[in-house]
Amino acid sequence: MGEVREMSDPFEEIMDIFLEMKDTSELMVDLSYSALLYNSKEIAREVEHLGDEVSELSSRLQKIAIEEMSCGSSDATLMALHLCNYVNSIARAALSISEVVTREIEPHPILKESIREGDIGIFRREVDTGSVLDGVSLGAARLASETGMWVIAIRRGRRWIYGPERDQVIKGGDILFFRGPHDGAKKLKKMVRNRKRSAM
Amino acid sequence: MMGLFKRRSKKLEYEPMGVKEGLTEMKDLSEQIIDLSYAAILFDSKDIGRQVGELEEELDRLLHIVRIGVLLAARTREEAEQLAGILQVANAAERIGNASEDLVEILDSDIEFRPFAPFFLKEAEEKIWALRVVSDSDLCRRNVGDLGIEAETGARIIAIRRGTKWIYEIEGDRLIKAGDVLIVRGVEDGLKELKAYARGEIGWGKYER
Repeated sequence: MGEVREMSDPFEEIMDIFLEMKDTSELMVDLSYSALLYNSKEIAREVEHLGDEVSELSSRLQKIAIEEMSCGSSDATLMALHLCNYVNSIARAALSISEVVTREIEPHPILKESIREGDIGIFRREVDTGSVLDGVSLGAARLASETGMWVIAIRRGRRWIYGPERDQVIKGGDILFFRGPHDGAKKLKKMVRNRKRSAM
Repeated sequence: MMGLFKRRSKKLEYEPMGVKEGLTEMKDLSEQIIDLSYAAILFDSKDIGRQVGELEEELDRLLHIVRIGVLLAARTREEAEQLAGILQVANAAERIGNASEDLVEILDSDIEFRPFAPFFLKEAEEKIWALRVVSDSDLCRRNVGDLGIEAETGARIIAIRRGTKWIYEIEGDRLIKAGDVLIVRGVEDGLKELKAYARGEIGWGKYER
């Protein structure tokens, strides 16, 4: 998002900002648990960065809610602020989780274990060159609908792609971080393998 | 450093029973409660809102267990520092619960939020839908685990409405029945697919006759 659009309806503008905040805050929660699981300061720092984004969006939302809506209906303003408050709390909780990772001291091993044993797991796998996912966009691979797995981050060499969009193309050598049910993870783990290579 | 910890832990059994289990449950609940609170607003449902309240209480209870376990476990400063991290994560999970409960309080307030409802349905990457299961759907009389609904369609069942009753505990052995309304969260492709299954328009792969 982020492009400038003509928007006459403050309702719609607020909901657009809210939905972006909501997606971002939930990505923050996923990433913060991933940061714990893999003891990754890099992921934890991304959570902080996304936290800044949520704050920024939040200020924008509040401004619109107060300036453009309050003369019409105080209920709409209250609701907008209520939603904003909610997302901010979720984002702050995620920040608090990621803080445990950025500290000097290594997180307690129990944290890693408790995340691994949840109903919804977080996993990490490298994509083989020549596998069915190599060169395919996330949207075309339909990972979310075929396996129930949600790709939350991609590591490409030293670069990270957080919260990848549907048009993000996966490449051999990428390391995918994904979350979802354990049986879906098994399916995805098969998809990242190059069958020809593993047969050799 | 970790090696030392582990050896010590065996001797002194510093690893408190129940902390890991409590944390796992808190993590799962914290994710479930986000979906449920959103579904409550989306469907303007006080019933779902009440369930959010119950999950929040459960998170409170678990936080207490984790706290006690952690406090009993610290023996050295180093251990205490690591254990403080556990408390911080558990607290965060509980804060997610609190935020979700605050969100659904709007249902009990005088604030007129309904004009917003249609906007909730659009754009977000993952959407929440309500799907009714017809009697000739392959989903009927099968359980969620055997079907592997989430792995097949990516759609996660958040709750089931059965008659006037709500079911929130969706474990693998949960049977789906004709007439059930499934509250599901997922991407649009997967939701469309599940909708076709629920309506009996397509057969579920492995059960196809």
